[in-house]
Amino acid sequence: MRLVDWGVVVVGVVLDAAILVSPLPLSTTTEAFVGMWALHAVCCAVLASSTLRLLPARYLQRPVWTWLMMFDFAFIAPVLGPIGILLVARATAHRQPEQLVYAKPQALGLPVYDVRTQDPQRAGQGAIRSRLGASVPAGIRMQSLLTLQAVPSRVANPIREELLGDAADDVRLVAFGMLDAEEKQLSKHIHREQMNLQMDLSVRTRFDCLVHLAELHWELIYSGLVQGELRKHILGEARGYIDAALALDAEHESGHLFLKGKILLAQGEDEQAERAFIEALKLGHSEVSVIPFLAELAFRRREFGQVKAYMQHLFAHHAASRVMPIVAFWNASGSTHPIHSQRALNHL
Amino acid sequence: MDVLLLLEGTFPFVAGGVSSWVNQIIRGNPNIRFGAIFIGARREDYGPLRYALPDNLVHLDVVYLWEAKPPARSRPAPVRADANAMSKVRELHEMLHQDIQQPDCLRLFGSLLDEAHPDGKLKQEAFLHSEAAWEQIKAGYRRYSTDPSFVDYFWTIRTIHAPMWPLREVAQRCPTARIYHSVSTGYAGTLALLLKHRNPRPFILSEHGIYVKERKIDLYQANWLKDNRSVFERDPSQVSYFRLLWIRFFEHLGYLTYQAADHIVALYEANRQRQLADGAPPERTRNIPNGIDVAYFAPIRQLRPASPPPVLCLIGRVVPIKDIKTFIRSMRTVVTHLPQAQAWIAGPEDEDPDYAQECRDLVRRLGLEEHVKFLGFQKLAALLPKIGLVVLSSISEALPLVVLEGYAAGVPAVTTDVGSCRQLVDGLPGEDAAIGPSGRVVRIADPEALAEAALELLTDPQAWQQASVAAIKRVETYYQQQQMFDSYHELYAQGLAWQA
Repeated sequence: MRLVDWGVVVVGVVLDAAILVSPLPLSTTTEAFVGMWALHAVCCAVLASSTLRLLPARYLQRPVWTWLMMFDFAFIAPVLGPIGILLVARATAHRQPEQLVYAKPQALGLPVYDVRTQDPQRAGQGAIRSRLGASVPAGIRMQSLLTLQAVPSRVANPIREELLGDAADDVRLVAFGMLDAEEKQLSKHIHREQMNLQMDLSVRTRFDCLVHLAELHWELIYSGLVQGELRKHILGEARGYIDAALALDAEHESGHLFLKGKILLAQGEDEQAERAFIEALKLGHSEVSVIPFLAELAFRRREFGQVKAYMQHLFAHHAASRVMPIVAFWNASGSTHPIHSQRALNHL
Repeated sequence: MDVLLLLEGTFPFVAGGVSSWVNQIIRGNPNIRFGAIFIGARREDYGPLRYALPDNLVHLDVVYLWEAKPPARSRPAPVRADANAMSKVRELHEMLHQDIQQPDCLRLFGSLLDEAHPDGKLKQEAFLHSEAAWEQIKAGYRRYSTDPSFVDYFWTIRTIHAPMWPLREVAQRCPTARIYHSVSTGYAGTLALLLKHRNPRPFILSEHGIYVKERKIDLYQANWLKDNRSVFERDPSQVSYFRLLWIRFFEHLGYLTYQAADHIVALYEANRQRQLADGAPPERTRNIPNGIDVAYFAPIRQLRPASPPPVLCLIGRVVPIKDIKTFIRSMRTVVTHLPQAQAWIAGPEDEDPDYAQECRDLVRRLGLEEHVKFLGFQKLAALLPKIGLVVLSSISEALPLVVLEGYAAGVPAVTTDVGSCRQLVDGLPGEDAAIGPSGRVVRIADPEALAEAALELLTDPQAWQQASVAAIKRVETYYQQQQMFDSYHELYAQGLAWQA
């Protein structure tokens, strides 16, 4: 069958060439003109149809468009077009898809997703800080400060805070501007939600509004935008909002209790914080997120066996996060170098 | 007219430290006939006069640099630009890019600015509608722009150049003066430069803040400047092209103004050093600190109670540069330790109503409604006897008069470490420092430190008393109005004598 098609293709090309060398193109009558183009069209159609049958299946996902493309190509360029199609058909027909050898997939334990893995690297902070020292020229300090725009707020803000005491006016004012813009943005949202709260809201909407207010206040704390008494006050506000939300008769999620736990922990209310974390776990919150907090609470109580148990649990989860060096430290078989592990535990 | 003051965004339409100083200088020199040109952005940005005009102010003109013009009724006709003038413009831009310190740069800038009048070789229509200007902008974009957007480049170049024609227009109608006195570089300095080019007379430049520095800080934080670089082209440590273009524009104006000025005055040494770093010729610079009428405030001291009233007062406009929010935040700590403490904010709120509202919202959010009061504009003579501390939480200041006025009434100050505040509180090394601290200085935007410093003075009557005594002595010794007047008398006399 393929041989017949090849034959048709070759004949089509020859016939098309024959039309061109026949007396028809020299004739000046309308009949001859129409006849010549009609014969050319027939040749092109036959050629396109036969070539289509010769093409490998991978080129035939949209056969009508493929046919039309070949027809157009042959029709627009008499003789040359059909010869081109003949060559294309020959080239594609002889080209077999390569035999790919796929490696046998190997199943690996996937890391449990944990938002904390998105925390920035500490090495980056060090690099920026080294370019912000008092001995560095003001121009470079300013440039480094501008680089902080690409760094997450939680890391950038403490550095900006330090720069408020920089010797150069420009540096400290730009640092101030960056901190102020961030605080202003959060305050704007807080103000808007507080205005919303004044309105007559459904229980669900009121709940969402209160949770959002708690989150926004927590963000002020998390981003390091408030310190001292102000921090205490903002924590109190955040707690007030999350408590008010949870007191409503609305369905709440594990994340709300997790937030409450973090606020309580920051306030130093360890027992209540632990209860909130455990409740969050019961409601299905990710263990990888909650367990580090529980381990920290156990560590504060000096219950080191409990800490180790939590860490072993995390190890089994392949927690891919910044707590991993700590997990490795508490699990003797951890691959992390002991010096690194100790460094990671310094803050505790 | 003896002295023509060139004022950008200050007296008499805007209240504030610089405006008060201008008012003081005019009234303090009743034998000199002053004129003033107020340079503003748009007419709608300013209200009525904020100061009663002194009798010896004989001329006041106003120019708005960004005033929208009514749309043209017909399509503008193409204009042919003068080839020679355009070539000089190209030459100037080349100098600004390569070597602004060329001596010719100032002369060329002055002469080209002088051609920017309606019948001149560089009239505005030639800039807006000539093919030569278009070609020059295109060439500039290809040669210099690192931002991919030509549209933004085109409009940035147009916007940067736009104020030159209104400045030239006001220079045309301005009566002749014997001395030009600008209170900043920037547009006011540029106008002084142009006036001096047209009519060579002594040019005094008095800078309170450093204009170039303030513009740079604004520009580093401006959100309206576009950066069209793609994610692959963008380097967070590199300032975007248009931001840099604006910064360099103001740096150049500053440099050229310093070159044109005969006397360059700073309020204190750190600012003078900054002027030198920005290109001011050292031999033309000097410091003349602000001074106040101490005798006017002296009787207030008798009205003060023996122990410090638990009232912290911020006297100033409710605007972001005063960082009123840090003062409000600090009150959260102050009232925890001193529940009877009150914070008064005495200043107009109409300059930035949105910011004023944010401050009021912050007071409410922090639950400080009972402790923080917004008083609006107040007469100092009535206010100062009732307060324990003058608080200055500003993020930028030069030599704030309110601190000196508080001192004159025996009120110590807690200030942020900006401008000359450390010098005002701790004194310059030597005899000044030996007087002792007249308050406390804290880091900017640090509510905790501000609160602690305030509590330290308010809860320790002896420390407060010592600071009060030091404040009075310091202001009487170093910051008398007459000392400032004498320095300016001398400068004016030099300029006027030269012409005689």
